[in-house]
Amino acid sequence: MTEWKTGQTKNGLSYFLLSQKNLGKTMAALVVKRGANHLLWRKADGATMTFPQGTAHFIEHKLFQQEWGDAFTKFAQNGASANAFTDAEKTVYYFSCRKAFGENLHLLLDFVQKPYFIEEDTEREKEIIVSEITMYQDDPQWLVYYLLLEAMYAVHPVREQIAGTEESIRKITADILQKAYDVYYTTENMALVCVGDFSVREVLRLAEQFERRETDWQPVVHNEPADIVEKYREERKNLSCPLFQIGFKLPPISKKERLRQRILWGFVLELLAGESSPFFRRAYEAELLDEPLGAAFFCGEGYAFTVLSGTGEQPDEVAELLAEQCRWMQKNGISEKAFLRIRKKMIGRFLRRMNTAEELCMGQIEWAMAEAPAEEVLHTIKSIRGEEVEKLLQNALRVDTMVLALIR
Amino acid sequence: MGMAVRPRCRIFVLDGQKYKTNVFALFLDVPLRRKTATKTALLAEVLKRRNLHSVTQKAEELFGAVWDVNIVKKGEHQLLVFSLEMLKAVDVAEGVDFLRELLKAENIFSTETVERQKRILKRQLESRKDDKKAFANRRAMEETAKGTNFAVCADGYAEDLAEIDEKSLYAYFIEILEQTNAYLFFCGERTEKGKLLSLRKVFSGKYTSKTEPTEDGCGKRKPQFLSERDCMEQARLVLGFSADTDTAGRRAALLLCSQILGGDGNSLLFQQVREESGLCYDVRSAISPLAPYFFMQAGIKAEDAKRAGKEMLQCLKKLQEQPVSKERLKQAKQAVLQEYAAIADTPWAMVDFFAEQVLQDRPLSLDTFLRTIRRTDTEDVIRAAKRIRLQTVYLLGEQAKIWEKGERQR
Repeated sequence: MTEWKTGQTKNGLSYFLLSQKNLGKTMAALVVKRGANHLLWRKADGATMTFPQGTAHFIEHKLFQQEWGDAFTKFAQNGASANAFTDAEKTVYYFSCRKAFGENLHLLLDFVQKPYFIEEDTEREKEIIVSEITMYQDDPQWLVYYLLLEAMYAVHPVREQIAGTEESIRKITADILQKAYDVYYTTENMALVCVGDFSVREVLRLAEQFERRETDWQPVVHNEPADIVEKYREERKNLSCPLFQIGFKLPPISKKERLRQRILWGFVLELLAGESSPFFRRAYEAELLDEPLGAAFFCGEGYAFTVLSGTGEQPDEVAELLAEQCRWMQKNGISEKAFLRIRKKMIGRFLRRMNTAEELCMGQIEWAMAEAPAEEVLHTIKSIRGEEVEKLLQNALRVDTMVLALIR
Repeated sequence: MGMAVRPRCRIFVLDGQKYKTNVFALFLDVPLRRKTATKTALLAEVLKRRNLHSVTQKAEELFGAVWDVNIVKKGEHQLLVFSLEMLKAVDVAEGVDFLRELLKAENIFSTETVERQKRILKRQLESRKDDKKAFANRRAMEETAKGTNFAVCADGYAEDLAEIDEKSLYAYFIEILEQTNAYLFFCGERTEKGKLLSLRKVFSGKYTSKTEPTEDGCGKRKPQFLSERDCMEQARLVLGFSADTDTAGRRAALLLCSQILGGDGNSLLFQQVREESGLCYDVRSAISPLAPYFFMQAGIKAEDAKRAGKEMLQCLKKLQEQPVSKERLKQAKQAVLQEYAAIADTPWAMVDFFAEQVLQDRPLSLDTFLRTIRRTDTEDVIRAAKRIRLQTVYLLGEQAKIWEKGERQR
């Protein structure tokens, strides 16, 4: 497996570089390890500052707008395709191209460092973001996810929508965007990920020019209770088939544990509810489920949870069957045969995602949050033992923190 | 000059030396017709879910091989697709055995199995309207292509399920196995081709030439205005157009039109309807695969429908009347070329592109098509834009209302 080159520039910008020919496109991403959750900030002297919900996402929308024009257009002129996204923990700006990589990388590193927030643009952008928020209101997957989070979390901002609400967006001004930018976009909280055919030396030369930016402000980690808010939430949207999510609220995980825990939870979810699990077999035979539940694990500062998503007329019965399976596994452990089969599956899944620069880059963006190069992931998957998975199942998965959210 | 007799199962090996995985995709080419669409869709469900548990475990043992049996719509083709992706560390012969198992007709058509899958498919079909965006796009396609096979839904129709039983479905599967043209695309090492040949035994016989595509009779009809109500926060506006995709050159020009109109953040629709007027977040244009249709779509407030629709049409008019600048055409070409060149980056995109070429029976290499895009000039783009004709204005929303006198509302 080709090795990643990792390190930090003199100004504190982390980098993860995989120089590899034959991938077709070359891709670069600048990861800002600040996202929708980072609303409340504190200084050493105790002063606090709160940003309206949706601020990180608003910055992402407006950063492409530069004093000299639109960075989107400039990327297009350079033959690159650019985009950005914001989630709970991070904001990511990226592009892919087949030529002029150096020029495009220079543009990426440049525009992210030069915000140009003006009131008129900010006001116009609000209409677009409100339209985006409204669009999500018609996406049942999105709605049920936030219903689940509201039932799980009492105070942690992970329960709030990434783009904010119409009300919170209306409060944002160019001045707020600038203040937020100054505390969010600090060099030590940014990472550069590049994958494809490029000169490492040239990339490092450009990365070294990235200026140091620091702040006295630190995001506040919310003291979230270990218990859930409520076990069940439901909303009516006239769906023809109910859509549901079952979540388990988990104890927060320290940064250095996140890589291993993420992989361990992948094992747990496969063994508990994967497509070859006894749970799915029973649910399918009882006509509770037509398809296996989609499974995911999320963690960040002050929170961790799993989500299992599905559709069906009897979500309560599915949740009960899942709880039963969970208790059974906690008591009886996991089958060695099933564990080894799932380990093969996890190895295959990881290697399958190495065909393209996009898959490699997007994968590394996630692992950059845990400050690990992708190759460490494969070693970690291979090192996982059945006893470790059993221990996690017994100690961290509590049926009393299980939540069912449902859109009918 | 005599033509060589083609076997009914044609095997195409695509160079996948650089990938970590081998991809198999077997396409059974069924003509897309209303009377058989539901049967084919049900067949996919039955074939996918028989022995589900043991097949899934087998795939996991093969280092998490990814497999599926599903339906893909390409123009007037309803493709029953058996697909498999597995690591190169796994022997290709194991993949071939896996596919052969999926194709077996024995012991799967019990009354219980078929009735269960009918219930599953019915639920899936009924829940399609829960995805408002996809539902609006599909309805716009149905209306734009009305009266042609392009309008047929490849996922099937809930109301057609009742008349299918295990006997008729089994007979239909045998008919498909015995008569349908099959295309096996393998993206991997060329040296492995010998291991694939055994799959031909499942599809003995000769390749049959295709049925004639239906005429598209909507080229000169008056535009239809249709609004439908649904419980939703944001309305979806879709404009459906007929377009000319007869030759590779015209397809290339239409692709560039679409890129300039609504392909990215630099496009006319994005800059006008979103950035300038602030009417929406999501606005774009799209071309249907292997079908002579073009669409523009946006998520808007229902009360802005008329204004947004007008602005979208003005963007098209601008493209029809004003020559696009050399710089803008160059950018659009770069974007389309990048998109098409990226086909060679993933095995699935390679399979999809080459399958489209084979289905059109006028195979074109990726390089040839890229050259065609490079050759396209401003005049070609204007001509392509002028051949785009409005057929349908479709609005889906909570307060969807009649547009003008004589327009339909549901």
